[in-house]
Amino acid sequence: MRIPGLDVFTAHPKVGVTVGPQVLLARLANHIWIGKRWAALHEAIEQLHPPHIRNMGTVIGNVCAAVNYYDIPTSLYAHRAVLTLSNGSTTRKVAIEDFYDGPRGTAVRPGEMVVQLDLPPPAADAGSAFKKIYKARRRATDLHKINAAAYIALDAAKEKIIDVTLAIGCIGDHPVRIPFAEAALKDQLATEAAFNAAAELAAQAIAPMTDAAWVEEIRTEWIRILARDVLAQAASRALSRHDPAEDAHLAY
Amino acid sequence: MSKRIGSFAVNGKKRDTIIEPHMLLVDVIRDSLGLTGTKRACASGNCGACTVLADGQPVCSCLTLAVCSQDKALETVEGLRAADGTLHPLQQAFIEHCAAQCGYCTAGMLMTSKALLDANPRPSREDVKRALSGNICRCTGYVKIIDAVLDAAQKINAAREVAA
Repeated sequence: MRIPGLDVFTAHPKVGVTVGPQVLLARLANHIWIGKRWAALHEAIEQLHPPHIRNMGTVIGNVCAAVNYYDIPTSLYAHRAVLTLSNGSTTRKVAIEDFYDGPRGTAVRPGEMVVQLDLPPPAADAGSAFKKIYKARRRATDLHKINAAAYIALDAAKEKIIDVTLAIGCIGDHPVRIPFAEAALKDQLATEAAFNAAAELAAQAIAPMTDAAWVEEIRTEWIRILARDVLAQAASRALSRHDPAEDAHLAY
Repeated sequence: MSKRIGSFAVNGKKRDTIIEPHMLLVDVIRDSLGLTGTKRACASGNCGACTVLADGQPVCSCLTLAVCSQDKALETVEGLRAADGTLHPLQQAFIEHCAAQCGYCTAGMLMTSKALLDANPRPSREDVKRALSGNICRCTGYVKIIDAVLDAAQKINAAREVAA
């Protein structure tokens, strides 16, 4: 059953992504532009293993559940998602960084619901990536997991980083962006050394939740490795980005 | 909330029944349509025992509202057996490999495996594990279940090659 206005789904590299609350994860995963330009989101959906959940879960439901070990919000941090909240008479827009508040808390006020999620279009030479590490099966209050997502835009010469987002999830109440690491990467050459340095900053900036099975040193090391790998992969995708005219026939 | 007549396409047959907007698909399938092969276990989407196919895709019927499923072609475990009573190769393989102990999860396992084999006739062991990661069994472990699915895939492919 589709409710008009709530099952909107459009994705275009020049316009961005618009997703309504009824849009299932499987519908996004099958969209060619999501795979090509919003790779971090695509990878996060692809790695949701139980097929049932992909066929039933919605993107906005996943965001609004505000569960700290979910993957989709981390990838949406990298893509700088903006949520539209409405109470029927007034609407307001909230960036996803401002949406979460405390354990399982969101910016949704009584009487409000999230009616739309927008992702801005990526820059001309940009790439993104998402990676996660499991230690054990997913279960309630599972700490044995870390995920990371990055978005990198390169200049026209494809050498210097002009824009970057790095987000790490499963380390606290909600995913976080790492502004220090982002600032350190901006206007730098996209080299392995730069990514290593930024990953080091990310590992230092975060004091992750820990448990008996996974002590802080191990989780911090995984944060460093994941941050380095997502940055490197996002940059390599930005580099391998081919001429937009080549896939113009795929646009609708 | 008002009662209404819901029409469902279950296992290729059109079935009408009275539903209410809050009713879950699993309850309608079991209680109203009398197809009790689909099991209700956790009712929160963790265990997968209630899996049915909606337009060929596995979904948890315990998390699906019945009113939302009226425009979809539903398939339950009762629809696996052929009209002449021959078991589906998956069902036969589950019997041969003793892949069920208490059998409560089996309906969900069968439906998820069917969706997998429809989409991917030659799955690897890893593909099967991944597809069945949403179905939980508390008795047998998963080795025999995965063996059974791989065996059924082989038999279906062999039959297809003989026919071709």
